[in-house]
Amino acid sequence: MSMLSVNNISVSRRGRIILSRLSFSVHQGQLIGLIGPNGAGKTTLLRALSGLQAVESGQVSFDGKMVDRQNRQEVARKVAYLEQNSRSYWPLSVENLVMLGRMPHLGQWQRPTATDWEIVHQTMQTCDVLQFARRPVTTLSGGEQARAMLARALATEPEILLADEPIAGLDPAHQLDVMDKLQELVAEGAGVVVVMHDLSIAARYCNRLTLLFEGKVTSEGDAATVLSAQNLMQCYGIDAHFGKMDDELFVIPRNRL
Amino acid sequence: MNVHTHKTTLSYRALMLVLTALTLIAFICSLSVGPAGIKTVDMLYALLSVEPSTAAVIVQEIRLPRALLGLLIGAALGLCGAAMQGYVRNPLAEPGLIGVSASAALGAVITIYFGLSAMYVWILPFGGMLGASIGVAVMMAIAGRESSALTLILAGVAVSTMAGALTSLALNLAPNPFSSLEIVFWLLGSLANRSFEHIWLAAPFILAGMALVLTLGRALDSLSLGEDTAATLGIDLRSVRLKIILGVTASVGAATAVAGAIGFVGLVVPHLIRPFVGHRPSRLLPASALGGAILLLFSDVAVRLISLGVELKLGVFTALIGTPIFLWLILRMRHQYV
Repeated sequence: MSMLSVNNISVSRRGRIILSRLSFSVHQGQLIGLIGPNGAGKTTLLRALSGLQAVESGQVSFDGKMVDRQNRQEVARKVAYLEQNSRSYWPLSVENLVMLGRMPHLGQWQRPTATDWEIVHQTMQTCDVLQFARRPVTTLSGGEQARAMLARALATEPEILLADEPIAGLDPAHQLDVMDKLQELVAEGAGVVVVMHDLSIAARYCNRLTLLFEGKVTSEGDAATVLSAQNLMQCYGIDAHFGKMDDELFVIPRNRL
Repeated sequence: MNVHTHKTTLSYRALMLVLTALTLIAFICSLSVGPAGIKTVDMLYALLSVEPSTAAVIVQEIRLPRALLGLLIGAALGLCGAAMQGYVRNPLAEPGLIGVSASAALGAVITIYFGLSAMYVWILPFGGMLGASIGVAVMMAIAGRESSALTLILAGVAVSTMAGALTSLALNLAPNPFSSLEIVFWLLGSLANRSFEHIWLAAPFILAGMALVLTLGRALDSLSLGEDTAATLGIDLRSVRLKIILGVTASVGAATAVAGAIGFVGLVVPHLIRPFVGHRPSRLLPASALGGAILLLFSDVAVRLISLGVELKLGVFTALIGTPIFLWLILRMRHQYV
C-alpha cells in the first residue's frame, strides 16, 4: 500500500517559519481534510508532499523512499497535485487540457492511445465537463474551469491525490459532486488530501481531519475530536454553533472572538 | 469522441502539409528571383547543372545559399519564438528575449568596428556567435540557477540593454563614417551576398539548436498549466530551462550572426499559427518553424522585387509588415477578451 509522508519537516521563508518540525502522512484508502486558518501552512505542506517545496530539515518519502531520489515521472504517475486556483495560460480545449493528466503515463514521443482517450472522457464525464470537451478552457466560468482542472488531476489515475481547495468557488451542487468523486476515488483505493475551509463538508466527507495552526499540527483525528469549540477558538478565533443531523456533525461559525 | 480526436489529428496533418508545400514554393520563388532574370524552369536546370554556365554559377553560388539561409533562419526564428512564448507563457515573448540577438549583434559589430570582419568572411559570423554565447552566459549568471521564467526575462532584458548600449557605443566611436554605415547596414539584417561559407558556419548550430528545442514540445504543453503543475506532471524544469536556453542560443545566435537582427518573424508567426493547432505548444513548434521559413523566404523575395534604388533590408521589411500584422492581432485579441 502506497504511503506519502513528511517526517519532521521545517520550512521557513525570509526568516518566517512556515512549517515547524511537522509530520504528516496519507495512505491509500484515506480521505484527509487539511484545515486551518489562512497562513497556517496548508498549501506549503501540500507542496512539500508533492515535492515542489524544498524542506530545510526532515524527509519527504513515498513508499518508504525519499521522494527526491525517485524517478520524477514514476512519482508523477502515482501522486497528482491540483494547484489552488489552477489555470491554463493558453486557451486549450478542455479535452486537450484533461489529456495533460495522462502525460506521466506517456513516453517522450508516444501519442495518447485509445485507452488514454477513454480515461480522459470518463473523467470529464464524472467531473461534469464532457459537454465542454471542445471548448477553449478559458471561455468557461470559474467553477467550470475548476472542474476541468480536477478532471485533469483525476485523469492521471493517481494513487495519491493532493488537492488544494478544489471546491472553492463551486456552487453547492458541484461542491457535493467533487467531494463525492473524491470519496469514490478513495473507495477505489486512492489516498486523498484535500485542503478546505468548509468545516461541515470536511466533517461529512473526510475520514480524518488535520488542523494546522502556525505551521504545526494542532489536532488530528475524526471530526468530533478536531472540530472542538476549543480548537476553533484557538485556531480560527471564532465561536461556532455545533449541530448534528443524521449522525453528521455540522459547524456554523457564529462570532469572531 | 474518438472521431473528434482523429479529426484534429487529420487537420493538423493537413496544416503541416499545406505549410510544407508553401515552404517549398517560397524556396523555389527565392531561387527564381534576382537581377539576372533567370526563368524558373531555367533556374531548376541551372540548379542541377554540373557545367559551369553563368546561370549555374548565379543559381548555385548566389541564390542557393541565400535561399537556404532564408529557410534555416526563418525556421529557427519561428521555432524559437514559439518555444520562448510557450516557456514564459507570454504571447509577447520573442526569440531574442534571453539577450541572444542583442549579444550576437554586438559580437558581430565589434568585428566590424575593429576591422576584423574584412580579413576573412567567417570572422563576422564567428564574432556574432561568440557574442551570443557570452551574452547568454552573463544572462544565466545574473538569473541564477533556480530562476523562474520571470527572472530569466528580466536578466535577458538587462543583457539586451547592455549589449544595445555597447553597440551604440561602437557606432558612436566608429573610426570613420564608412564603418558606422557598415555597422548600421549590417544591423538592419539581410540575406544578400551570403555564401556557402556562412551556411557551413551557421547551419550546424542552427540545426542542433532547433533539434534540441523540438524535444521540448511535451514539456511546453504541461507548462500551459504553470511551473508547479508541470513539475508534478513529471517535467524536470531545470533541464527544460537549460535546453531552451542552449537551443535558442545556438540557433538564434547563429542566425543573427550571419544575417543580422531580423525582428518580428519570431514574434508574429507563432501568433498567426496558434489558432490552427488548438493553441497546443507542442504542435505549434514544428508548424511555427515552417511558418517562419515561409515568411522569411517570401520577405526576402519581396525585398528583391521592390525597387527603391537601394536594396531594402530584410530586417526593415519584416518589421514593416510585422507591425501591422501584430496590431491586427492585438485588435483581434482585444475584441476576443472584452
